[in-house]
Amino acid sequence: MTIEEIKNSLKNGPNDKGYYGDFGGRYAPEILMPNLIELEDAFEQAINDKSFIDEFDYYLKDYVGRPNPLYFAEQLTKKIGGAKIYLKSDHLNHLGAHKINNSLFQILLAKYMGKTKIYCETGAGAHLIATAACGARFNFPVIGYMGKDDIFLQSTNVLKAKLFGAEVVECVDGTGEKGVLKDACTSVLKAWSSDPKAFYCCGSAIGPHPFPKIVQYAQSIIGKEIKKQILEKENRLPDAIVACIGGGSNLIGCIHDFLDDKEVALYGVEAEHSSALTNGSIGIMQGFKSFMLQSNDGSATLDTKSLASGINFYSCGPEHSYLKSIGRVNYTYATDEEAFSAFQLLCKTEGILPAFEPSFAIAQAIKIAKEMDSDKIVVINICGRGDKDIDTAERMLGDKLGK
Amino acid sequence: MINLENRISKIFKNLKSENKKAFISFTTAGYPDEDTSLEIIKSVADSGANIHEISFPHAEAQADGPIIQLANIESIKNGINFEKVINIAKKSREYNQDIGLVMMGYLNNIFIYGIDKFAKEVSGIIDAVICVDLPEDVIEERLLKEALKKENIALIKLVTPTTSDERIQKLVKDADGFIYSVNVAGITGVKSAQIDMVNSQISRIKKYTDLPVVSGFGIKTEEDVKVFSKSNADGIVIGSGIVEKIQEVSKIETNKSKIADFVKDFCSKLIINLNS
Ligand SMILES: Cc1ncc(COP(=O)(O)O)c(C=O)c1O
Repeated sequence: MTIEEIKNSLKNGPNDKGYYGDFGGRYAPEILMPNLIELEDAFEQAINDKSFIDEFDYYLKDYVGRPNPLYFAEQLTKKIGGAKIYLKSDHLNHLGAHKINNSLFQILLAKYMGKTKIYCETGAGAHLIATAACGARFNFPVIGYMGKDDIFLQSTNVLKAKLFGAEVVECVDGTGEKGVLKDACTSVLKAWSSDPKAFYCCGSAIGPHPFPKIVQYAQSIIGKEIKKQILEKENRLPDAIVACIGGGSNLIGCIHDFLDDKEVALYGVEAEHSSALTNGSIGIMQGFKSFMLQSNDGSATLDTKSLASGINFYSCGPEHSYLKSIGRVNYTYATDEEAFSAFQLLCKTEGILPAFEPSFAIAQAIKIAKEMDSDKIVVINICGRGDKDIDTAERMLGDKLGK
Repeated sequence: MINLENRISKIFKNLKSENKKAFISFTTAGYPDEDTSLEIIKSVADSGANIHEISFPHAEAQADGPIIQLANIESIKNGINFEKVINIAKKSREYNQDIGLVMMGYLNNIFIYGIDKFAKEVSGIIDAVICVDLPEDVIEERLLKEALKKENIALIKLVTPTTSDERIQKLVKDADGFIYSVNVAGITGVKSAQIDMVNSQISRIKKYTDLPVVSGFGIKTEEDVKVFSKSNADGIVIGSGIVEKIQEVSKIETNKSKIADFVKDFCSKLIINLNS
């Protein structure tokens, strides 16, 4: 690489104030500033400490079960009749989602920093169970904040988290009536402000600097594996990578290692009714500047809805807003109906039960693959398995399931 | 044009000569509704409050506890927006030219409205701005500070229990108006402030600045005010305590001026306790 290429690399991450272009930053109350600076320093120290990284790698392999396969979905490919479709299998990780890559990293960081208590937020509960499990393994009490609606929709994850010893706190918005991921995010920031000695394990590439950077770092293992595996199998890079995006951790994890490989088209797929990158405007909430679905004067988020709790989020990580602004990543959305059909299609063609979240990516990838020649390659990140969603699937399918 | 820097420093200078502390009230614009919230501000001014914080509501208010959060949501539901809050500030200023007026809230409203446009719009109306989520290392901090400075409006700095002496020195360096000392680690209206900790934090701040230091968070009741009248702060801020009273009275009373009178009585009692 030339010096010029290194300087212009899209992988360089945020500047020293946490900005990706105009996005990101550290819009935090003063009470949290010392914590965020302490965290940033510890993170930089840890990733340059070989023993820390060795420990992370060890647990990624023996606890999480990495590397997971890059699986050629031959049946799905035939059915679609276009590009070759590969599935990155983060649903096969311990606890069935990509979230554990990040939880493991941050719990190890908490240990490195000598912290004694962990707070986290969660949407679908995937980040909650991953953090609860790592908390159990490394002897940390974990307190998880979860929206009231999500507690209902993802009850099996709540149960798992409790089995791992975590405490789950129900969150609602100011009306006290409903609660989703953004309410969990605001609640956990308040909890952390009230208990600043604790460690906050942020579940997606959102929040004030350095969280987007930490989460990107931890999740980038996904893309590194994809690159190695596709070169082994196909001796070339894929033509497209597709992943779903709520806050954007699995997507940034998949694509970070490919940002400078301009021949690889990158796609992020939001849910139709929480499509901040397609329909949002620039705003500043919950500690970061990004595209968001917000009221005209910026006083509130707009109500969002999605079949998938994990991507039911009014905004997205700031690095994604930057990658949109420079046109490096294509951001689109899929509807609940499209995702639900894609969910069923993967079950039927490959015997793989995806979570609802990656089903949005599958839906979009199918559209893309269909238009491509058979010598092209598309990779989809199956960032979670659907066990947590089968009750909802059953409710939706009703009688059709028996026949 | 009234010189704003003079208004706030005049308030503190006058109080100092009388050996008194500033009483700083806080209410949520638009709560329980737009008109009543204006009447409340007028009556708070009548009660003799020295400075009033007009809070512009935000639904994801990171620093606010359940009491203020509920007021935020209710007022947003009732149709308040940032433009209307500015109007409330204008009408408050027309009504009373002596009280210090501070607009306080979260950056996003000012960011969306436009930083320069905001500064011009509130010029001659308000004396200071408090922005909860605006630390020094974000771009908008400098932009807002400069825009406000042109209009003689102070951007108030907050110091909290987690702020080190080193950070205090940095924060107060080009601070203006007064310093806001946040008494507790946490959100509004939940924990109670402890006088020893409050005093030691204020002493830490006063080592590095001659600006007045006001103390807020965790002071709610008439009793609390009595206790903190003995603190070394130059003023105290009562927020959740007042908003809670508004909540209580507006459940049983719909008449605007009766609600406003009730709040005036409450503030009057607090002021007596502060300077007794
Ligand atoms: C399985 C799964 N996929 C995706 C997401 C979305 O998060 P992100 O956009 O950070 O990957 C979640 C979040 O809870 C999830 O549980």
